Amino acid sequence: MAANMYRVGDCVYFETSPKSPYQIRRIEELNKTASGNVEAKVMCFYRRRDLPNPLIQLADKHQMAQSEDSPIAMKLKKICLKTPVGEEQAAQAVLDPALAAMEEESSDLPGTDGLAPKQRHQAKHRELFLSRHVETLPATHIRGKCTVTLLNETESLLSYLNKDDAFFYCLVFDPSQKTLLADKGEIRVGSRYQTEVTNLLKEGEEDPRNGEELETLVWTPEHGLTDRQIDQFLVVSRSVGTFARALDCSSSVKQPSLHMSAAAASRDITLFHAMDTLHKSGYSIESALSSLVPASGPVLCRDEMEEWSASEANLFEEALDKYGKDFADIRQDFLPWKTLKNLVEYYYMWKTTDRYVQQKRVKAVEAESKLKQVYIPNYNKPNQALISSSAGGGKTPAVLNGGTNGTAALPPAQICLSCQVTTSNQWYMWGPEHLQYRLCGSCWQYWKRYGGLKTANAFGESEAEATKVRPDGDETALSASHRPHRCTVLNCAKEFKLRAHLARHVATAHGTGEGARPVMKTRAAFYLRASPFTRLARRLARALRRPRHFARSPFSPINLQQVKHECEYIRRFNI
Amino acid sequence: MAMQPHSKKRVCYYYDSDIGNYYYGQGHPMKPHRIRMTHNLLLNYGLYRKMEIYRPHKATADEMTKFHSDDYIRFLRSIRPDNMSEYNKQMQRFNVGEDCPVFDGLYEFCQLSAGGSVAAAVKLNKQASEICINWGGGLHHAKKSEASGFCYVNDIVLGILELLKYHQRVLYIDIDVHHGDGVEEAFYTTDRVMTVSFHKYGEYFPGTGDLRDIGAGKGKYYAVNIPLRDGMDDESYESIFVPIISKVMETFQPSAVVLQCGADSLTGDRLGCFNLTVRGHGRCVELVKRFGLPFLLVGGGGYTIRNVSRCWTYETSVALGVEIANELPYNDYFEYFGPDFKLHISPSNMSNQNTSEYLEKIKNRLFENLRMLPHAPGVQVQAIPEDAVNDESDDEDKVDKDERLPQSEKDKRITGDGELSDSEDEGEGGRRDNRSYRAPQPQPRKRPRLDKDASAVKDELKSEDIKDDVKNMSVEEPKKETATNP
Ligand SMILES: [Zn+2]
Ligand SMILES: [Zn+2]
Ligand SMILES: [Zn+2]
Repeated sequence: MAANMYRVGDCVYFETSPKSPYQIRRIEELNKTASGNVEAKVMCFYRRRDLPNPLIQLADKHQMAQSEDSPIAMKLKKICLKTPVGEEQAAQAVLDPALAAMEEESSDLPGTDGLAPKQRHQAKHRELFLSRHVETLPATHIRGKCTVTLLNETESLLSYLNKDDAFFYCLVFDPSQKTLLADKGEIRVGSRYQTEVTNLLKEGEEDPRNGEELETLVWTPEHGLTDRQIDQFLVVSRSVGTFARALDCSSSVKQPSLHMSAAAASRDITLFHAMDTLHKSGYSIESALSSLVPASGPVLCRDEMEEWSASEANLFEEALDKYGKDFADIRQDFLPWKTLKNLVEYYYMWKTTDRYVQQKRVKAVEAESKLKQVYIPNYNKPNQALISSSAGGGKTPAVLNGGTNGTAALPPAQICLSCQVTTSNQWYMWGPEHLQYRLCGSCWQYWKRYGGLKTANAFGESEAEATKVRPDGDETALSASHRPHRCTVLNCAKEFKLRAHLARHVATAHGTGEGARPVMKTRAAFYLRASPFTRLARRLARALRRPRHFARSPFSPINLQQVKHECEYIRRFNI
Repeated sequence: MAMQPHSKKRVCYYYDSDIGNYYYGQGHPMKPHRIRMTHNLLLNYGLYRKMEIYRPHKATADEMTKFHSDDYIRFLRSIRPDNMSEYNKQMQRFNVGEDCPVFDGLYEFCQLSAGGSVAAAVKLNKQASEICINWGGGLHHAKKSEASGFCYVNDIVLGILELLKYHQRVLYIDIDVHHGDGVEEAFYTTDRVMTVSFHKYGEYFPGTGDLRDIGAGKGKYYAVNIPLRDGMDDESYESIFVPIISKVMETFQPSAVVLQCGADSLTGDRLGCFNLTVRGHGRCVELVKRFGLPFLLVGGGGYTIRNVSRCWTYETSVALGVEIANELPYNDYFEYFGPDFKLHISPSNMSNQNTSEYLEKIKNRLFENLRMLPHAPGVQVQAIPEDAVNDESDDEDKVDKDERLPQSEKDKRITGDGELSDSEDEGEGGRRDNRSYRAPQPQPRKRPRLDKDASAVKDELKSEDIKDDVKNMSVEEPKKETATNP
């Protein structure tokens, strides 16, 4: 029951096309339409497969930078964060020079160390990209709950793999700009942001602060009165207030019964006044009593609630209807003799009245179209990709152009594309029809939820990427199909999305070719490689180097002549 | 009214009766009225009479510019709803307009909020009080020259600056659901103030508060951020709050504490996403109070106002060490608390995305950082009696498991329309803990600065080659310098 109750804020699977993986959305609002259906306003999460390829590359690099704690990685992180990059070119230009220095062979997600290749493959299915894109979908298309959390660097991806329907995200995707951005604020450093820190007072130094100028004492607990005495005094002051109302003409009109007068005299304003009176009388009950009944007559304390006449109250309600809670306008056009403070105070008291409660009820009926949660029963209808398993001979769904003979165990030629099992309770058609790919029930479920195949095989993810079915006009249809670059070295056949990566792979893993670095470097504007002399100088001229100093003042030049001189000097003396 | 004396403290409370009438504007979630609702509850619970009550002065521009920039304060002083059009440029520059609207009496409101926190800090400095409360304060997002997140003047920073006259080290703790970015930024490069913020992180205002943000320069390791996910409940919160705060107390050894009690971390908050009850929230106050340090409590966020006033009323009672009934006393705003008219609230059935595994990992990472603080071995034993802090808090854990809320209160249920339970089975006096907590005596001690420098240098050496590269890289990108101020 609770599992089928979907609340605002839940992350859920939506089925918008039977043959595509579910879409992952977060419910922002649930609204009842005029026809009685429930519509969900949802925020979109995107899967990796939904993103243009260059952006995925960028995301991986960002990840790598995140997982490193070195200053260079921190620096990179900032670049990525501040530079929404969409074009492949731009991304390369900003990132390559720096990343080339640290990028390892694999372009896998971080935290995947120690993961088996299969887990590494599956981890990619758990990564989502947050977006600010909002759409409206019928709530009946909800197919279950999932969780999406911001990946924290202390977490391993394994913790996501070990949990069903758990996804993570690191970056925000803007589908219209086709950019990625990290969702992270920044604490700024500099004298414009930090405070000057007060010094500790020295021995004998006077604090210029005079406590008395800073505050006025209104009540102290050091009064010598018992709780009972205070309570008694409060009752007396309320009694005085009741009597005062009896004497006051305007009050006796408003509170015709003794009950009402007593209730009015029991409001907090009377009690606060009583406490003030006690304090001002030095906590002497006797003297406080006499100030409750000065020569002018018994003290009468009235708050806004009581101060306002019935016609003013009517005006206020009328104005509230017209202007909402724009008190400045209300004052100007309806109640110019009141102050803004009068209005605000009155408003908050008016909210406790029956009249407000009635109004609220009316509004509550209006607001009924906004729901907090909705119950969606489990969806049991068979998917149209399901291959009928009933022993009905050639009775197959219309979408199937023959090809199966309708038995649960398909001919050996048609094994599960993903896990290679040959028996399953259910079989699903997957991929382009003419290829006649089949998925077993469990792999189909996996595909629907995680948007990929359990195992990366010869037909691999990329094959699926290239051939995946997309609903027309789908927002997510962004990525152009992209042929992978496959390593041609015998028994390797690893695939890379970028030619450059393949080249580097060949160089580092197989030690052949010219190496990938130069291939990448051609496009890189800047790559710093310490020359042997520089390295030597770093060792020798340690005193001149002052890395801390220069790291903090990037614009002050290093005196090369001096360094050279120093090296020369050291060399001579050591020889 | 049951009065169980925990530890009785001298409590000073700051309030101006005008505060409730400032109005941010139609539809704005920030409602100063909640402070008045709290005040009226305090009176009718009989807590008012047990405290020193002060009306704070209005902080002057001079006082505010101890932190804020002159032109920003000048702007706040001059801007009014009727002259806004003349200030278009400055409004953009100072981020005033949308979230932080110009409203009638804006400057006065800031003056009262700041005046309370400053007066409270001075009061603690003069040792005229052990605990000071300013529910009108806690506006933790305000920056040096910028309004942010409904905050204009950062009363907390001003209060801490005052405390620093008498206290070598001041600890700031923030349990608002939002990151305490304004306070963290103000003290980001100093080692005299440690800021510790527990907050929702990830696609959430203000976007800062990453685990990796730890301070800069001298202040490195003096900013502690605990990024949390939706649905934090009482148990999870305590499981991370207790060890972190104990460790912070042990390693940082502050001599005064400021706790920002933003109530938007309560369950059902209009802007929040945690699932804390009033008890769970108040538990933090209780735990910090036990350290027996001069203690300043300020308000903060909180947008479901009936719960905010419940929370701050309860926390006032905790500060006083007085138990109050679950039945709310009658008061001018009694109807706000329907349908149950109880002090305590139940958590909702929302799921908690903070697994214990996640919290454990966060905790361990933070412990690693805290270990980087300069630490004089042996001093700790002197400064904190062995039975006081460390053991106590461990003990706490155990005691608590048995003394947890009655089951009925924990029962998950579907909340309808944000209303509160009326089926709350009250467990009076949930925690009766009469053990006295010997306060750690903060002793002025020399902290071996050299130690820190030494470790910092070690750090530096490891990564120096890379740093050289960074330096060179910035030739290419001159705008982005390494963000450390010496
Ligand atoms: Zn399979
Ligand atoms: Zn290969
Ligand atoms: Zn907040």
